[in-house]
Amino acid sequence: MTGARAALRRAGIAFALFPLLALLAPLLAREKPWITGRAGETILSAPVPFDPDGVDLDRRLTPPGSRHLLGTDELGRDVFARVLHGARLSVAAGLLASALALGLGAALGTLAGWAGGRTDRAVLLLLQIVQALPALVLVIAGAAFLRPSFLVAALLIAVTGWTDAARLVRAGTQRLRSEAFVDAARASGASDARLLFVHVLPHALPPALATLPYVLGSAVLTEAGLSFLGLGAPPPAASWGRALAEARNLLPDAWWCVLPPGVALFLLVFSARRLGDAFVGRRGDVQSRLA
Amino acid sequence: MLRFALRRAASAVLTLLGVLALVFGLVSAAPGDAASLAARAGGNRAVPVSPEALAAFRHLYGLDRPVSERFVTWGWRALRLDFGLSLVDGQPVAARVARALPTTLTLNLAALFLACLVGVPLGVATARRPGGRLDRISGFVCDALFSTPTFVLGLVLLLVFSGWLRVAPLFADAETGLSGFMLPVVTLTLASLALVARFVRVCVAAALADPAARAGRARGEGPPAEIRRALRRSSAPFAAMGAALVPSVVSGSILVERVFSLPGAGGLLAESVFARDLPTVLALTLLSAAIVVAASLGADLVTAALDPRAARADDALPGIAP
Amino acid sequence: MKKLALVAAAVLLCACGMRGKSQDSVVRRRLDGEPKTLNPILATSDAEQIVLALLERNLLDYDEKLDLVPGLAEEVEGSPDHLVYTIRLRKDARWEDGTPVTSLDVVFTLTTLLDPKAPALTRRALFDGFVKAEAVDARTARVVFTSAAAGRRDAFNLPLLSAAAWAGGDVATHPRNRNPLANGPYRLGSWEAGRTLTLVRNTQYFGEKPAPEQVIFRVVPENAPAFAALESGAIDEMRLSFARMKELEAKAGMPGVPRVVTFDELAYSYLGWNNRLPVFADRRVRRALTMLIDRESIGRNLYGGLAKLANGPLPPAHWAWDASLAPWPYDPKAAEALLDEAGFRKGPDGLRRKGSLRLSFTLSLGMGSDIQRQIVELTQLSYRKAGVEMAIQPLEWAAFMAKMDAGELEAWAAALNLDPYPDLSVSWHSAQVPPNGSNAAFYRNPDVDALLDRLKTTFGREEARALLARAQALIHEDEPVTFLNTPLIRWGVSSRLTNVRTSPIGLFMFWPGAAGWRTSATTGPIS
Repeated sequence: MTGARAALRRAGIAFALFPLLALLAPLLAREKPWITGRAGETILSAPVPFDPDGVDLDRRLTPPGSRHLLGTDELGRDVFARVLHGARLSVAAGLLASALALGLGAALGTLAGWAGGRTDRAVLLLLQIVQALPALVLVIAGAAFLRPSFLVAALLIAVTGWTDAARLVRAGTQRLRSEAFVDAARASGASDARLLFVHVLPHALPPALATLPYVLGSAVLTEAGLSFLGLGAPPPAASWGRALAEARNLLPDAWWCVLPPGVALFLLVFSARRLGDAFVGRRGDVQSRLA
Repeated sequence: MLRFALRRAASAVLTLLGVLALVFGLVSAAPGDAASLAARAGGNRAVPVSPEALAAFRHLYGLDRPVSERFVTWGWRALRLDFGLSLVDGQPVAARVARALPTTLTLNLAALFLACLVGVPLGVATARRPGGRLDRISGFVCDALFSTPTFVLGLVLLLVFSGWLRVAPLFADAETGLSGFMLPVVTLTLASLALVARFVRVCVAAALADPAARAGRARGEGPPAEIRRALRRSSAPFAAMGAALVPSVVSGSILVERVFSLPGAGGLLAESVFARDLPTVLALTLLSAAIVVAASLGADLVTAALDPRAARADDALPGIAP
Repeated sequence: MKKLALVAAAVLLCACGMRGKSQDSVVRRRLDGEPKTLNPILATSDAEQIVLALLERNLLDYDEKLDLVPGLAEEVEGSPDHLVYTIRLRKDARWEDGTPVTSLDVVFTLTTLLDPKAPALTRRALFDGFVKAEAVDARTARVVFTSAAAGRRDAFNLPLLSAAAWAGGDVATHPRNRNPLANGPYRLGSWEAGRTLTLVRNTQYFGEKPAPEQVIFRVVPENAPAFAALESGAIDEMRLSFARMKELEAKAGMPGVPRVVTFDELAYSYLGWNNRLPVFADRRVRRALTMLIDRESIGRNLYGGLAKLANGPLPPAHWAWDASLAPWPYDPKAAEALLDEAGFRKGPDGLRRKGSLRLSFTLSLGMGSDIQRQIVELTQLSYRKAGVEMAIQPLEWAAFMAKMDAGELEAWAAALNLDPYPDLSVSWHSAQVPPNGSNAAFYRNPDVDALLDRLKTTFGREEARALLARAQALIHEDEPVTFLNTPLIRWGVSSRLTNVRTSPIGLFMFWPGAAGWRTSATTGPIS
């Protein structure tokens, strides 16, 4: 079991780097020095001494070099700085979208599993409709209504991605609803709400929560795909997906505009999946992991 | 069992109706008007468009009637397989869809087939030796493949193999025939491979760990029989997986289609929504949703047939990644 | 043995030669989107018009200098009062099925075009005042108007529909829209939907046989694959971004490398301001917004030095362009002074306010142009430094157009393509505000209105030039929108194509355009 725990720890650390980078980005990449002397001279500058918005048209599209470690983009902005700051958007979009998806799914799943009967059938119908709906239509039409933005992208991803969580929570809730210990608690006078929150959900939710890393990965990739179609967050937001979408016409020459955000995106999704793997265990048996 | 099947079928029909109504409502209500879009197809030309022409366009396509009436009219016609005319070019929607569909189906089914061809044996092999070298390597590679955005993968493959090495054709058409599908199919296969391999692995591993399997091993069953039993027991969740992969068959390959200049149904759907071409959107939605619903229904029936208990429940296998 | 070798060599040479010859007679071109219709009256997109330019001649065509020259019509004569136009068709003009092009076709086309109910959405503007069209004899048609208009002859830059072919059924949904009858140098051979259109020589064409036997159009929506195709010879032409142009210029002279062809377009890019909005009401603010943008740096860096500063509503390629009108300079200090003068003072947070009115607005952008997006992002930053808050909102094309047509956009970025005879009223006359016309800036200047009205009936070029100069000056003073640049358009053309000529409306929409291209076997790659 230690092997598995070690794997979990490794994966956890790797994944946690991203939110960390996202939080530290404004510190790591900025033009204003960390410490300035009394005369205004720079004593200690940030590791990446460029603003992500620092436009420098005369230096546009320079390849990686000593001044700009990862080169500059089409407006002369430092690629490294943009990638670091892009972490905030990509991670935030991923977290928000997956949190919304799981939240929505858990809520509806609980409702269906607990209430049963007509409510259950209604939720199931909704679930089937959403699964059968071509996500593309929903996304494009939604974007037309709601004007592309970071929040809207997260919302659209959530609205198309809640179904798996809902199914899992519903199954769990249904199963536990008729367990012996629940009957016992009910017999001792516990209210429905108490039963639900104290006894049932702690067991029904974990399987859905365990999918969080995977949902996160999918959400981040979907955001990139949305940007490719032009529906992602608007400028000056510099999510990795947008950077990729915008730089694709620069291939294969200005490869340094595509590779860093691409690799960053890849690593984020990859580490999320590895974390999910380590958490779930190779046998796919969630219950034993949490027992 | 029959009651179950009937209940499921009724639910399937309701689902289909729900999807169509939702799409109809969304696309109708979204800002943007097919008539003025058609006028500006060439970009922002400084040419005025007369209100009568716009009104005539709307009247021609019935856009000036209330939404509910249009939905019902569409529904009646659809039952007779008349999907109307496209707002974009005035041609029958059925013809436009029929032109785009073969490309997408070829692409997706070929990719699915190849993904299963490689993924199923891989999944089985890694399930039998969990934690072994093959398992670790395959896990790593599959996760890596899954984590790469498809359009990037496709673009890179295109530029390397078609642009630089010139071993694959740049476009798929009558001249290049099926070889033009090589790169796009490979791209999609790589993307789906991870999913298939992992899923097979989990199912088979679970089945192998099952008490029944242990009993079989105790009886002296060899590996082949073990595998066969495992596969049989997994067939219910397999069916569920198949149903889960189906939604992407019609429109899921849109990014790959765009990168490789393939005029498929995914691109047609996107373009139709952008142009507010409701008849085409509805026809494609009907097709896509019908396939999904039918697959889901089929999966449920298969599961129920194999495991009568399942006829009363409805869950997904826990721990399976989406 | 020797004989065998010789035969083998001969066969090989012939094979190469044959391949070369078949290469010779095919031109491969790129479309960035699939044509929806090949009905010349209904076609609106670039892709459609490019294809149709080879299939159909117009009554009068534009030559490369944008003068009207005879096409299907030998002559189009206007009456002295400019109300009646007589069209005399060529005796030898024929449709691809051998039937002659007659005045009945002219009458049919005009009736169809001008039927208020027909969705012929774009070509109508120049036929304002149309009364009727009648066939005088087989070759002559007469068109009658109620009013005289200076640009009337340009209305006859019009293709024809065959009355026989398009009879029966609704024009909008006619099956002929996918299989038109050609009267030009080529006819439609085959159409593999979404992929390729193949045109072959029209043997019934009255004019000179075009050099290439076949023209194959291929739909390639993405630019990267298209450029790879251009370099490998799979397509023979495509529009180039500045980066690609530099790439090709760097390799110029090497065998097989496509060459770059450029031309000045009748277009300009601009940032539109909705003048009805309180923040844009004062022209000092609008001028300041123009002066905050370093258009020269943009021209140097984003357009590779190949863009001219726009100074008003006419681009440099237009015959009436007033070169003496100096564009507003890049002067952030003066701009900020103007903003102060207009009452917008910088607050403690850096944002300018006039009382409670914040100098803040949203600029909408349709999806598509990379450069446009870059300019808008640059502008956002420049504005922020000066205390102007501009939010950027990319909109999906449909929503963008809908809002533009409804006059709901606060600010937007766009490019304007002008027709050879541009009627400036459409964009600048106060009667042309949405939903009637395209004056989405809601610009109102009675003096300009008066000039534009007079221009409609000014037939002399010199007189028109003077009026247009005054209109340009007035609009320049008011700066209702920020005129940005007119970039040079770059086209990559295969080294095996010759006689590729340009015009201010591009490589294709004038006569002979692409119909005059020739191929040479010696310089093309054989692959």
